[in-house]
Amino acid sequence: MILCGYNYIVLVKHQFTLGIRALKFPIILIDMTKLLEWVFGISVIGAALALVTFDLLDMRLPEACREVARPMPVYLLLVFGCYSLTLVAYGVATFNDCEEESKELQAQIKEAKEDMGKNVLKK
Amino acid sequence: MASQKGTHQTRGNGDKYSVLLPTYNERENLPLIVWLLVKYFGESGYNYEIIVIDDGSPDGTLEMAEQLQKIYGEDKILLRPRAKKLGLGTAYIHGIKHATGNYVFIMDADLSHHPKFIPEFIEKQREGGYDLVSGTRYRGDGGVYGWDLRRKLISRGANYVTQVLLRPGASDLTGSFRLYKKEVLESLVERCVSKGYVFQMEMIVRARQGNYTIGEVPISFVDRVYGESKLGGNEIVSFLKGLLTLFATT
Repeated sequence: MILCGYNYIVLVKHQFTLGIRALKFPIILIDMTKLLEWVFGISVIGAALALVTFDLLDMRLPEACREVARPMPVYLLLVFGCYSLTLVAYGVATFNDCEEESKELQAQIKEAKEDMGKNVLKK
Repeated sequence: MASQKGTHQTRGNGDKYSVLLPTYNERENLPLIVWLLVKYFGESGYNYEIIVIDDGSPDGTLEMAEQLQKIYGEDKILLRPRAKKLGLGTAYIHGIKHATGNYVFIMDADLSHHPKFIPEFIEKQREGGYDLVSGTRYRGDGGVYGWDLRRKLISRGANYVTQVLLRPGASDLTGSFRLYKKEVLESLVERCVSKGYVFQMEMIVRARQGNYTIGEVPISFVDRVYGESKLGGNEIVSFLKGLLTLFATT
């Protein structure tokens, strides 16, 4: 169950990184809306973490395991938040400014107007 | 149309491209966009037609379109006017009804989309046999001109949220410079219910749902001075509402 949850996290992060082609979740058997997929995914992770944190199945895991699992929700949110901010900041910084295109367009507009003028086009 | 070997000048293998131009108060820009379309289609040798769908513009856009029709011919410039502003989805439906092409371009008539990318769209579509090819501002050489930091930030932020929530399979969802196979456009427009640029988002999401293949071409978006559009609070709110609706229903 934990391994399943961990693999899920890896899959989810992998998806965010790729971003282009949506990978099919291996667990999804029916056609879910995105909302349902998120609810399902978060439930799985939540259940896995709760299982370990509160020792629901009396598995008697080592204390180290529980110590790691306890802050996981907050930690994951923080990591996701920072990752998102970084991606957006990177996107803004690398957003191409099409100076050339603008100049080219202006020149072509002039050319078009002159060309049109020959056809006696009322402007 | 006899089929030709791929020389640069003539590319006739039966494909015809209809360009849908919904217009509202584009009297100034219409002759310019038509001139550019004629130039690039002419140079590339593809067969085309331009369909102007004017929503009762008070500034005389339709009269301008009629003059252009006289210059370029009624087989190249088709007019499908409507009485008043009725929305983009219905404009496309109205426009495709008499389109004779098997592929359809949709683009803005205000020169923010440059026809020089049209041959790139066509080549990309042929390369992968895509059902739809979307112009993207966020990848490769794609970009914008005339946006300040605030606008870029909002744009990237909104796009990121959309990618996370919808995982759409395309990098630019609100863009409206696209090439569709005609039957794909018809099928998608019927299924879409949103308005405005959420409509463009919904088209891509529905395409993903229907397992249509999507290709991308980097394009430049030049925000012109001919009409200032501010990205205000209202637009952002309606965008979020549309996004959440798509999130919950697709």
